Amino acid sequence: MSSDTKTKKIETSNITNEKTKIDSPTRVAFRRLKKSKMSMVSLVVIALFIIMAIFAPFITPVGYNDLNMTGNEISANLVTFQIDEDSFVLYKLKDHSFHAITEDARYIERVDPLKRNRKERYNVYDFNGAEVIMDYTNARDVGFPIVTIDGQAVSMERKWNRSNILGTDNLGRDVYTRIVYGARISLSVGLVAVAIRVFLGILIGSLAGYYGGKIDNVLMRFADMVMCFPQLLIIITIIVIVGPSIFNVMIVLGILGWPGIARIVRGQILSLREQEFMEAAEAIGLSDFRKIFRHLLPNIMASVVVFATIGIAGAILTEAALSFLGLGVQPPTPSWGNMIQAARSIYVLQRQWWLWVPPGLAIFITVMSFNILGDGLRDALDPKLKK
Amino acid sequence: MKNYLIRRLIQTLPVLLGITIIVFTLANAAPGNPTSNMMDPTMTAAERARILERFGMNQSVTVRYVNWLREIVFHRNLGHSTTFIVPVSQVIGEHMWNTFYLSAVALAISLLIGIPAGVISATKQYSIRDGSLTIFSLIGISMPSFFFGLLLIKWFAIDRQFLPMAGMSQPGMIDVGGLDYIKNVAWHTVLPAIVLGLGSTAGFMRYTRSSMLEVIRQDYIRTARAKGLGEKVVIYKHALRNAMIPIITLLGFWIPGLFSGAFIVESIFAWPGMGTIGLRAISDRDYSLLMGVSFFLSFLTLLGNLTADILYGFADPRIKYD
Repeated sequence: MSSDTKTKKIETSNITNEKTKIDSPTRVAFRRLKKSKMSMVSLVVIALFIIMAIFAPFITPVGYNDLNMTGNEISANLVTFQIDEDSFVLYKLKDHSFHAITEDARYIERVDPLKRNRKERYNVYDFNGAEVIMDYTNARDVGFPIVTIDGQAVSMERKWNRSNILGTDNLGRDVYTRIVYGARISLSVGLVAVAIRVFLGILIGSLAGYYGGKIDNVLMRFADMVMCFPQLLIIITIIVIVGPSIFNVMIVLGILGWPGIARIVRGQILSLREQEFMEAAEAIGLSDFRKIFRHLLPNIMASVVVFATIGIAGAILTEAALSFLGLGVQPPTPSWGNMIQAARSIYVLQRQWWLWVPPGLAIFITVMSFNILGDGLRDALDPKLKK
Repeated sequence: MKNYLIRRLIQTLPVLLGITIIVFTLANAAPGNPTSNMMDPTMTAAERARILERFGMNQSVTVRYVNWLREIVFHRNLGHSTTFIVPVSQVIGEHMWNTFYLSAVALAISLLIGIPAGVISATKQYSIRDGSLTIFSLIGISMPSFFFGLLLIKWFAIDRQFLPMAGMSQPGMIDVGGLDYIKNVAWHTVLPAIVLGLGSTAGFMRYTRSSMLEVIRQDYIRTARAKGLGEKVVIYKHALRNAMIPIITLLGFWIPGLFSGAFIVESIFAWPGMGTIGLRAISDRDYSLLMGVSFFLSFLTLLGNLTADILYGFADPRIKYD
């Protein structure tokens, strides 16, 4: 007698007495989930992020810590000028420099000027004998300099960066590569933290719900206690004590997050253990362990799955916030949260969107996908909504 | 009811005690102690011992814990902050109202927007309005507050220079006082309150929606309609009142969320509140301040849950307490 057949029987007796083959609850849920377009889209997005995380080295050719001190802080959207038939340059606002690029906007190297005049704010370059003057007097206001070749003004052209599609950071590292590797951190923190939560939550919740009485009282008061702490403060305190690292963040997030799941598990077990199938289990003399793990828990996995999915979203958000505050993943390891730290500088906030907007969007999209999937699962697994 | 109140209060005590133990243990597990900064390597063992003795650090952990607890209970003394060089209670007292103020504004925003939006969403289920509100609420719960805060700072404070970027008022404004000062603070509150309120607005919206959906399917709503009551009366008087009951519990649980949110928001907007001093305590290893802040915030949370439980009893006469 497996629990599966038991749930099936409950379903059949509750819903219909049709003679057609009855699908397992899991199959029914999947069918319902497939009908929700939003959930399917979010599932695909999550799958893409997971693939990105696992196959990071194959997705991006460079390493996440490859420095390039001359080609640093290059934008994703370049200001370029065509000097002659086959020389193109990009202009970097930060230090008013020219960098040679190919025609299709691939980075080559920095071009050193012949002469710099900082006082009157222009540089003079020599390109195959032609005298190029870059006048950056108003560049901060308009975003580009005035460039003349032998006295002839040339027009500026915007091009998308082809060698670093999301530009480079202050150490010349490829932002796109760091986002790809950052997915590893965010997803693994989310998954591991929630796995710990689910394990502890189920263990404590089922013990409290099944045995009731004093055990229940003590365990649930303990859950109250853990829930009372302002999570972030206590996480930060523990992180300060044990030291910031990705493993500590995972463990702390896991250990502090179980009361939610424990409450749900306990509540459901309290009502389930009064049902007839548990009387039957009692009658055939099953052990407590078997009753809890084979008969009670399979019946509450649906709510646990929903809660865990939404929990992953929360854990990813918390990890990002911790890394943003400098208490999570430590540089040079990239995480989406610590990449946004760059935006603590007003200059970056104002002019270097490619450094902090993409990681922010990555967090947002991932978290949103898990939330949508969680909602979709909740609807799909809700026994009150039939078919 | 009276019995329930008393029992609930008694139940709270061990939780509170447990919180003090955890807070104390954590602060003691941290490297160093309040006297570490006062010693230098040239001191003799006797001098070190004297310092330890003066601050009671030579006693066992249990004795120190009991002393700490006794000071809190009888003298409301949370110790001395090494960063601010004043008693911890004074530091908390100076900063807590800033956080309460910010949280209250954020909470007001989220209730005023979240609940009506949830009601509209539920009564017009599957309409375009419901769809867009649902998407908005999903965005609200998924948006990392620090990222949202930075975006708003960029759009409104840097690019448009329309709203102030950080702080609670312009430097010097507090001396001006009067209406100008109030206006200045209100102006500074706009961005942080929006950022802090976004998540809870979305949360209240979602809970109100699902709670309303459940209620409007009930028989008594059908009865109310059958009696010929107007739709507005049915929804806002009969349905909403019942749908609000679970929201009360939610309010109790929302308090720790608001405080956690305040940590990040205050850090981005340099808001002089509990979050800022909490982070300051951590970076400066000011453990008595850290203990004080954690204990105080946990205490408030516990109080919030307790109040929510009691209000729940008043709001829902169907609940019988034995």
